Amino acid sequence: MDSSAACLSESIIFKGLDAQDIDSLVPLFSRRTVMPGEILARAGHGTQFFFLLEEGALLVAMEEGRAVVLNRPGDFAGLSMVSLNGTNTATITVLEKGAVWVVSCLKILDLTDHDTQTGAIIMDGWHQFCEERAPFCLTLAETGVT
Amino acid sequence: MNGVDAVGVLYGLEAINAHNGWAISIVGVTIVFTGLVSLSALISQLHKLVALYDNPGRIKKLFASKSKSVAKAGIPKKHLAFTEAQKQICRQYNLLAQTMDDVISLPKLLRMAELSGLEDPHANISFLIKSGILRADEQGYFRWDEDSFIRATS
Repeated sequence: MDSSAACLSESIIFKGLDAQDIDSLVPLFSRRTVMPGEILARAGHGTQFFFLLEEGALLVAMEEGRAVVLNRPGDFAGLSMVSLNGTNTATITVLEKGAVWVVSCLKILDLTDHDTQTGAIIMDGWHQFCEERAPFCLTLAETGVT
Repeated sequence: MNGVDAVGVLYGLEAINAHNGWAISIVGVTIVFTGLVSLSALISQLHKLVALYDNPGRIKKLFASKSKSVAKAGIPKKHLAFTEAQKQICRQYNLLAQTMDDVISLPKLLRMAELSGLEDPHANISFLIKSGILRADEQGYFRWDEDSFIRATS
């Protein structure tokens, strides 16, 4: 993928946004190549970033031994899946070599917190994503970050 | 005459020859041997029967998985050709999975693989998921798919 725009368009969470909204999100994301075994976030640490998967596989290890494996382009390791009240609730480990788009959790929070159409679309996409990939995450807080 | 007494009654090898003794003895030996082999096979599998008796829940599970297999039978499955190294990886992780409950915690499996000194545990767990041997449930846990494992390693 040439840019985060392509990855965003492919993601269940962001694909509901129009081209203009996606273009405005692009500068928020920066690309990072990842290697197996690399830890992107640790449970208990302050939440700084969320990760949009372009290629490879990520293991999101949660409490009580639960886990989600994200291995499709556009999968998003963020919001309530990985964070609650500004603290990581999950450890994100790279399972397979690939690339992720890193975004500041506060920037995403800004988008989803305000009562805007963009925020509503992202949260709708998030619910759809969770229903499909990790239904048990829906019982957690809406955004996971307050 | 050799083998015949004064009143013409056969005895010894002649008597055996005359009354199909060789054929009868071969049939007899075969029957006894087959019986013993069957009996030993039966005894060797008795522990499974005892395990089912000890844990009747497994019988229910057996039927449940059978019916699931029947339901899945209509769906054509993707058959991947596994290399010998990949088959070996499947077997190693199967041993680890056997030490866990029916539901597998993936982070725990990863930790155990690391502690056991298995090579490339991250990439190999990803491989097991992609090949369908490790399947996620809706609660964030994983299950070892015995059917996929057997297909992959056979």
